[in-house]
Amino acid sequence: MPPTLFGNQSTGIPPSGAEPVRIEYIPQQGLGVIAITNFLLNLITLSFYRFWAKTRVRRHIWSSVQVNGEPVEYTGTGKELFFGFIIIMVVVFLPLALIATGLAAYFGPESAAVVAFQLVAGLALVTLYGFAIYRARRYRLSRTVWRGIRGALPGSALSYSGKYFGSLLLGPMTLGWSTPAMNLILAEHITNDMRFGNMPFNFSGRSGPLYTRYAVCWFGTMLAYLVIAGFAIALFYSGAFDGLQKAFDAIGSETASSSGSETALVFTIFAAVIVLYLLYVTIRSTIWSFYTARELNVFAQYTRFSGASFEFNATAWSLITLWLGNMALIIFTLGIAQPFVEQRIMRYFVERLSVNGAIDFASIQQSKAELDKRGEGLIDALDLDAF
Amino acid sequence: MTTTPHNAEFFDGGSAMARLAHVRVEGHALVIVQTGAPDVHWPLKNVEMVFGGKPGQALRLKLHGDHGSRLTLPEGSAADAVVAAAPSLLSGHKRRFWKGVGISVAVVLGIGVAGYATLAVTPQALARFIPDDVVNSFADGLEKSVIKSSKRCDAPAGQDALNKIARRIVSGTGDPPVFSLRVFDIRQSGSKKLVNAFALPGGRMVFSAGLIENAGSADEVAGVLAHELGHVALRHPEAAIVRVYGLQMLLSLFTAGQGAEGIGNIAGVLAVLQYSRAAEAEADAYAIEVMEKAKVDPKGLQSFFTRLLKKKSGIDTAKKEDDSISLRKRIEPFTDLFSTHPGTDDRIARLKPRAGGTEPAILSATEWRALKAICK
Repeated sequence: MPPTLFGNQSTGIPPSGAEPVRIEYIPQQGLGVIAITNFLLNLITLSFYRFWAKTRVRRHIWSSVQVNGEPVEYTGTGKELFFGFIIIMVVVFLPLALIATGLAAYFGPESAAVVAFQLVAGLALVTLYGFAIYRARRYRLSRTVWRGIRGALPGSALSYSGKYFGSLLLGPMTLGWSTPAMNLILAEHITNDMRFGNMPFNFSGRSGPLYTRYAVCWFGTMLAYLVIAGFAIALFYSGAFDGLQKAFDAIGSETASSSGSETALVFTIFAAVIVLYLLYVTIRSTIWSFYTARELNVFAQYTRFSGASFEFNATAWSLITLWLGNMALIIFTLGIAQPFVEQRIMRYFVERLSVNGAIDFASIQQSKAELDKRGEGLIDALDLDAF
Repeated sequence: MTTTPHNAEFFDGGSAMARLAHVRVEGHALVIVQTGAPDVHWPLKNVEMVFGGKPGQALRLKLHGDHGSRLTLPEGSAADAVVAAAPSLLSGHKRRFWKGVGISVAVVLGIGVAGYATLAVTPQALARFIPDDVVNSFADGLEKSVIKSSKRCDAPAGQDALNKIARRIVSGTGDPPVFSLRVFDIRQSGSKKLVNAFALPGGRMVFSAGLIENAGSADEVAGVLAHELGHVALRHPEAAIVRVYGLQMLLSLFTAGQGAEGIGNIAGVLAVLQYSRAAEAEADAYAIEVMEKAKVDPKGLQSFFTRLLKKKSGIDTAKKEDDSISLRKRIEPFTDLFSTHPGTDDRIARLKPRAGGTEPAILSATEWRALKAICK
């Protein structure tokens, strides 16, 4: 269905004054063609087409989102993403690679110098995670235009990055219990920095309401691990691992002669590891979607924009089916359907989000924030890109 | 204030207010007439389509380089008039698509060329600049993986005979590279004797006892030595080290330095120590030249080659199954200087017998027997 701006002309667009906000996802034709051509082009360019591929998908998906009948527009380009990637490669990754190679050449590939450097470089990269996330959000917001006005994130990526790193450190130290509080701090930081035009978003609230749900999920996960561990121990004492040990011994020794059954066993072990991993991920994701749903809803409640408030209707079950559907799409199409996964995610958020209250859009002025010429290099290079 | 009926919706990029406007084409420009605001002129050549252009679709336009202002014309005569005045609007998306394809394909081709340069051209050029420490540490590691716990064969009379052959070959070079030559009783899996010779970095040559035992004459040993000396003189082993680091650089570039230990180890060097056909031909050419000057008959190397080739193909067909498993066996062909890859026949053909043979003989009958007994 094409955007019909003039369909509701009889009601007329008020020249000024507050409007209620209606946000909807109206699928457009053509995503299948984009998916297939992107896949093929990524294949023949060894994935270097991905910057343009992403851009095409975003253009399509963004334009399917309509706010008060007006489609949202993605104005980013593949070239901007490509140069973002090149810059990061040259400025961050090339020096690291040169130093690592030099150290390995001089002190030997397994030397302490190489290990120490990798540790330091790895840690340095982790401190960049928050930076990458913030900068990517900034790029996307600045390339999102609605009614001629673009989004912005003019704050400091560095201070966000500090908080993000803190949350990464605290997570394991508190066995995860810092997660709700830290997630709130991060959401608060980034949402308060967000603008549509010159109009800021506001976020305020406490993490208390998240903790009941967190506790339930945390103990639920522990229980699941205990059950799995118990199962593994039972298997161990039943002698199922004896054959496995033998197989590993056989693989380890050089003089061993291969036999068909051995190959089959290795294959079985490999398949079992994959199945176990998928099972683990599924159990984990299922349990934690109860928490994620709560967090999404609470964070939406805490958000305000120009007198309007937000409501999000996430449920654990809907998140699980979203996730399972996405997994199935990826697995059964070998990744070709990735754009549809992104569409499903966008659709989920758009369709479950409602805006209460009215916004005076005419009073919103264009953002004065400067437009970056490049984008998302770091998040691409660090492979953190979720969307 | 105009009273023209509106036929478009305009966002001026300054505020999120929707303005009703009247649009008409005037010469090479779009004129946007708004109520209560000055007219806006957009040069047609700078107008870009955001979406639309299909029947039943509104036409959304923007101005090139302008991140805000947008003009939307509903399907109908006004939109048709704009498209008629600027038909290139509709092909903008296609142009953008092919630009993306073009750049990404060019990038891949560029990387391919750079990769080829890294692997094929630069290693040889950079080989001389590797510090001795690096060369030696690699040579140590490689030596260990080649020799393992094999017994060193250094019966004094045998070593003397070997040195005599080496001196004879060196006499054919103008500027011989620094090298050492040692014999080890290297066994294959199943304790079969390995018949091979290795040129390791830093001029360290290793002959297997099996090679000495399989040789029919001193000429044959001399030929192999000349060939290995060619690898040493041309710095092929050092080039292999450069190649490993080139590959490792690429790998760690994509893993931010985390893959440094990846292939920069012995297995990595073994994998790239398989000399290219060009390198083998270079070493052969070197050997032929040196043998000519030292008056050693290349027929020795030729017959050694032929014998080895026959034997090898016999083994290969008889024990095919056995070949696929052991790690050691998988690595061996890579370091095997006489591996039966295509082109071996050419190499053999290029070894022409010397008129008059080897003169004078390299070793006396006694010395030859001593060499054969170097492991005893």
